[in-house]
Amino acid sequence: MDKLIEGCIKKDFRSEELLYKTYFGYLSGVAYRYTKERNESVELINDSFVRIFKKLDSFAFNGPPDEKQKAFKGWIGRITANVAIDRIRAKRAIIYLEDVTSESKADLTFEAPDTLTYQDIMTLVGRLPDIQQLIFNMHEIEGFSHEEIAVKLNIPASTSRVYLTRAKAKLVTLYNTVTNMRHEK
Amino acid sequence: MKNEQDLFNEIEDVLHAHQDAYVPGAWEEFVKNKRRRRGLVYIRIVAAAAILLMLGYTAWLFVPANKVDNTANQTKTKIKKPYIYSNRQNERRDSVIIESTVASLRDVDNNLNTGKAYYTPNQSYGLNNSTNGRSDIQRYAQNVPPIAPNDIRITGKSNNFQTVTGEISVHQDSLEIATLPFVRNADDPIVAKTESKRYDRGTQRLNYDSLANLSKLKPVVATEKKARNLSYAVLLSPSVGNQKMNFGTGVEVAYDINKSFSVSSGISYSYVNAGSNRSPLSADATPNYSLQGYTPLASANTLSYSTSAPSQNVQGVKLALSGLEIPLNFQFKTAKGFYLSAGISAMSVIGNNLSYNYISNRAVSVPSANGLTNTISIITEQTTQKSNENLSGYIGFYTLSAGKKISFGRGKLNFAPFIKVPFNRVSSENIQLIHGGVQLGIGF
Repeated sequence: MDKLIEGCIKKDFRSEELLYKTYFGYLSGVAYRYTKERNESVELINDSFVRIFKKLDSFAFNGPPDEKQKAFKGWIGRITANVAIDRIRAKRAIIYLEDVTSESKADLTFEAPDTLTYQDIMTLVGRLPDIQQLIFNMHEIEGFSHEEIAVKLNIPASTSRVYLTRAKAKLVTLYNTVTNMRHEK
Repeated sequence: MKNEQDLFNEIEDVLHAHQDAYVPGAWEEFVKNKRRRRGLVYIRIVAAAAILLMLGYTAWLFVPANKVDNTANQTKTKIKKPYIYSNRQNERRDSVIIESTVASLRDVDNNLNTGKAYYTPNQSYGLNNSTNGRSDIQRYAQNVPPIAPNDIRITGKSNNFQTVTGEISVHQDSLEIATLPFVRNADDPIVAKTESKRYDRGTQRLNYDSLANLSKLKPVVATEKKARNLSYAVLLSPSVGNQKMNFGTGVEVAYDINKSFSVSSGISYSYVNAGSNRSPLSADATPNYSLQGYTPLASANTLSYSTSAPSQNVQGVKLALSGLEIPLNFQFKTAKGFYLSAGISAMSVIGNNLSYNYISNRAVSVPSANGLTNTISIITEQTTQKSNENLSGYIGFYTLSAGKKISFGRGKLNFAPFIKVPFNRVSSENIQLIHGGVQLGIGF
């Protein structure tokens, strides 16, 4: 891991290729959560990697070595989220509406009985209004603070907290509803 | 059933652990894009360097006009200094000595013509050696013989760092009637006086003068030649892109490298419009207008309505740019005033306005008076929102044009259709700023 990062800092072509191919899949997942379009997410990943390679020398981690990879993934995930939000803001104004989507809860099913799969989670989170999805992803997954979210989205931090609370409540409600339906069956 | 915290921990873990499959060719595409971006950076650097070079060259072209006067002043100053006697300045030293001597002999010449004086052979005269406040040569001028000479020859002999020696030969009908040696100090200030009088001598100028002036005349001629190679023009360039009319106006300076080629630059103000349209919504993307979650507020006596959240779809993007443009063009002149021109230009963006056009749809449910039936209406609105995207401050263009210059009076009328192609597309919407039009100019 350290050698890989060092090689990339030294602009070693092989190291850059290895880093790109190693973390492409992870960043693809991050990007897709924000763009919801595969074609757009590849562009987003490439923009993110440009920024990652540029800022790689600023990555530092002082914790235990086995945690370094996790920290690195978090770091590149935040960069990708930042790039994604910049693109979203550039392309269109974020709609701060919380209208409840019309889709019925009946078609919401989980693949496995006891554990949530990636697809289950994406389906669950996909039921949230856009602004709640965005804030849930930023805070819960990428680890942005409410103050950081406030700056990025140009909203008060308290509003971010409210949206997150509502998002969590809705996710719990949706999850419980689906689980109960399955038990009833 | 999980508790709330377990649920969110599981969501976080699953999402962090998730990895999509690698898309074959993604790395190659990334490298390709990276090289393209790097290429753009190089192009911008080269363009900036070319502009600086052009500006520097243009500035240099204007310097010689003042340089002529400066040269004259410097010559005067230099002559006053003793360095003219250094070993490196042999040729110049002779000229100066001779000129100074000739000038100092004007009085001598006058006195010779009046026949008042006489001379003493083999006597040394110093220009700066004075007796009773008068130099030797002046004293000699009052004592030359009563013979009217018709030729005076002056020869610089030798010098060291302190003194200069020479001979003044006085002739009559090719017969040398006197040889007057002279000695003068190196710092003799009479030199400066001589220099200022040099141009007043007219036909009395000696052969040496032309040699002395030879090197000084050159810059004057060269400057006049260069000045004629410069031409100026005021330009107006209306054009059309994929939106409204664009226009540009500015000034241009052109320098003729030779009969066939010229290079031009200048500065202009440009206003460019562009846009892109989005394809109409596909069938599966047609928004649903659902009123679930909205309870009609009808009562027995009042009518009220409920509305769904608006569904917005981007219909198009418009961009308006204004900025200062610095072009650098090379022209190839063909026959009869026709020319072909190619170059680049860098535009520094002063203002930009990127806006999105939305079609906003919402369903409105109006209960009937009896409260039993609802009337649902779909309301479509067109709205425009300004984008927050930060656009690049500089845009580069390739410029191609072909035109003709027509002489009228002392000026030239320039008519040239042109096309401008940007180095790359602008904004995340990939707006194409390509535009073409006609450049109209009046040259001087």
